[in-house]
Amino acid sequence: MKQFLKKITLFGIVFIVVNALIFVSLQRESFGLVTENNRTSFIENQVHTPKIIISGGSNVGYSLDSELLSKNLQQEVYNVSFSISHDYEYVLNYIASSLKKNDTFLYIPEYDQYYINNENTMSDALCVSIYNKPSTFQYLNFQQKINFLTKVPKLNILLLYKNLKHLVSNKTIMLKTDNRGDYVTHLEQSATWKKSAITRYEKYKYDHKLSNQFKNALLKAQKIAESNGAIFYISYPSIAQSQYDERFSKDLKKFYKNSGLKLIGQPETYIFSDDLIFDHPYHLTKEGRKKRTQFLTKDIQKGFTQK
Amino acid sequence: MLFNSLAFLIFLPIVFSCYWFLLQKQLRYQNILILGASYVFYGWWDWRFLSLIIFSTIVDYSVAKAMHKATSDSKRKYFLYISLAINLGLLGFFKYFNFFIESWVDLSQSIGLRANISTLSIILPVGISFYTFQTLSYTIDVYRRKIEPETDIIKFSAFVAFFPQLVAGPIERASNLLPQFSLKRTFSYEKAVSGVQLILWGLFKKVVIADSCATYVNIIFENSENYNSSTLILGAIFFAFQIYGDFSGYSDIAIGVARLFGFDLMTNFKKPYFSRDIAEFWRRWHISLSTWFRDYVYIPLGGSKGSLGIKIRNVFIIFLVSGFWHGANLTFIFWGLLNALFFIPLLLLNKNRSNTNTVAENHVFPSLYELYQVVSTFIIVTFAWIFFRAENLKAAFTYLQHIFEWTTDKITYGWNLEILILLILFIVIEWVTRTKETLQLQNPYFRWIYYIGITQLILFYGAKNNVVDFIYFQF
Repeated sequence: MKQFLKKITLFGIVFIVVNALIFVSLQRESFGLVTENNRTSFIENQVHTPKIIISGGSNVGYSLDSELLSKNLQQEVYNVSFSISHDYEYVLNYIASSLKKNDTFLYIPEYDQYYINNENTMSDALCVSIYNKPSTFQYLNFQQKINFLTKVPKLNILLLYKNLKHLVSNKTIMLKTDNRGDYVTHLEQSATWKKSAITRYEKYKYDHKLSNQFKNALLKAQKIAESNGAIFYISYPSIAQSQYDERFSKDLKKFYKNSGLKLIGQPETYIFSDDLIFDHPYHLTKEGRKKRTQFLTKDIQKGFTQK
Repeated sequence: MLFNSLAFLIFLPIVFSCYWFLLQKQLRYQNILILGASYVFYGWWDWRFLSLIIFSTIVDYSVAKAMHKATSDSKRKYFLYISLAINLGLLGFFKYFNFFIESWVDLSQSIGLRANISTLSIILPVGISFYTFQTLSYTIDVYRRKIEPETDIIKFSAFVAFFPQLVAGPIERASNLLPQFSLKRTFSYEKAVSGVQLILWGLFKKVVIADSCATYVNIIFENSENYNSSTLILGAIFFAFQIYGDFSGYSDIAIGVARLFGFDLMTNFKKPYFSRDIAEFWRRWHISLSTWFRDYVYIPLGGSKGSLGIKIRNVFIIFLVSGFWHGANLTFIFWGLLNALFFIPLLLLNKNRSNTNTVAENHVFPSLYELYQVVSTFIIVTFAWIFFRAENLKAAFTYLQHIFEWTTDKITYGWNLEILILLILFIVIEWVTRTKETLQLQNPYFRWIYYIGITQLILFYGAKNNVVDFIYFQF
């Protein structure tokens, strides 16, 4: 028995030492969603303040020209969108907590987010973001923190092998962003979107079931932003005409009624014909992106002055 | 509890430590620990189904004792029928009830009758086919006076629920496993080391080979109409490796874990894809089930004795029953039928036992003829697997139809260098170890590098692929 236990222990030690040696000799910068890593630098570093931080799902990432918006508004604008698989509570807490005095945080959630109840799950994308920036662990709720900790060993292994793979192959597939955080890779590509037969509302059977958790997350973000001396606004996402449903507008009016949240624009302004859609109902082509930015400029000029 | 889960990684050392450190030299307590651990292991999925195992255990324990005391053969037979009715009744209800109802409704509608019979929402208890067959073999062996009934309820319960092989076999015979619960256990270093080696190799087969293939198999089989011939052929080959890696991997882990506790389970797979004909394949694939059917169905039916008609009938029965054992779906029955059709010519030519040794025995490489035999056997086995994997018969035939359609406008998918390298590595190791359980490297440095490498791959693919249930749990 002793001999067996000795061998097993020795095997474990050798295994851990081998892995630890490889692990410490590798870089972790190539791991995860590089674009999102870059974007978070806009809120973590002392870039020009006062600034406007715009966030949301990939709708904001793909369908906004922050450079143009910045010129139009004569103010620094940064795109800090996260993929929708990043839990909204985390995104809102993280950004709102990082705001400085006189900053503006414009949040543009996609329609689907109004119907998602946070199930405290940790998507792979969110795990990787936390793994890369452990300081943002604090923005998770308790259940998510536990979930994340159980996934750390898996992430360690994946990082190790991802790095090993990088040693033999330099191929990296990532979306390029410009210096304000907008996705730019798709601007030179042809659209692949095909008009859909049913709306998104119909497809996912939302049936007026709005998420109270989402509303609470927005209210909490507003409170945090205001305590930092910043302002929190919400606007509407751009969407393909064939995917839009009037019930979205009705539901959202009900959602925001007496909420105390500051809204700019109208949902209808951001409905785009299907030929301006790139590959997903929330992703605009170069032309669509420009149009959307002009509409948003007007809404911001009108909405922000009302503060 | 899955063998490839964190829960099992914690569970196993705890049970192992209690077994050898706290309860060493106390056989009864060791058996109680095994029983308790087995119920925890099983209850991890759904504790409610523990009642089924306990019920089945009590029935067979009592029936066997009563049978032994019975003074006449008719009474003995009566008790046997009680056991058969209860065990097969439970199996039939949980596994086949909806199948029979749906088939009856379909049949009635096809002849113009209205049938308004509802199906029930029945959850299939994990591993029910395995432990039912194991307890049945016990009762039948007692009836045949091959073994004495067990008088210790703890030993018998531990035999029925023995956690390493409870949910996916090997289906043990009472004559092999039950006496081991009465033997004093002493720790054997060699046995424990071979157990760990088998566990690692089993995990490699499951986590690295089967789960990697599963990713492609699921996509290809679920959207077969979109893929071209080469992709569909590749999908079928991947499934052949998936099911082998998954099931034989489970068996290896089960045998390895049992060895850690001083038990010997029967070999369930002997490199079946190196078989030279279908008869050899069935002597090497899921051996515990094949021999179960041989001993309890085929031989009582007359086996290979009697007229040619009887022989052919028995072969069909054995393969159809085997197919049906796998699940309540016509696809499994058709899969059994196909295997019977492949087997019959060998029986007619009296060649069903012409390949009883190992391919290329005492040679490094096979002869060209042997290679041809192995490849052709693999092709027909893989062909039959398409029916085994498909959702229904229509989907299976559609899959085959698309294989033979030669179009250029369909998608090519799955020709991934990574998975192909893994499969080649796997085939090479399997070939080198075709007469043994695991790779036995004499040089200690190479041996360490080999097992560290395998563990690395298991961890990486375990993290990369989502944890997937073992296929055979559903049976």
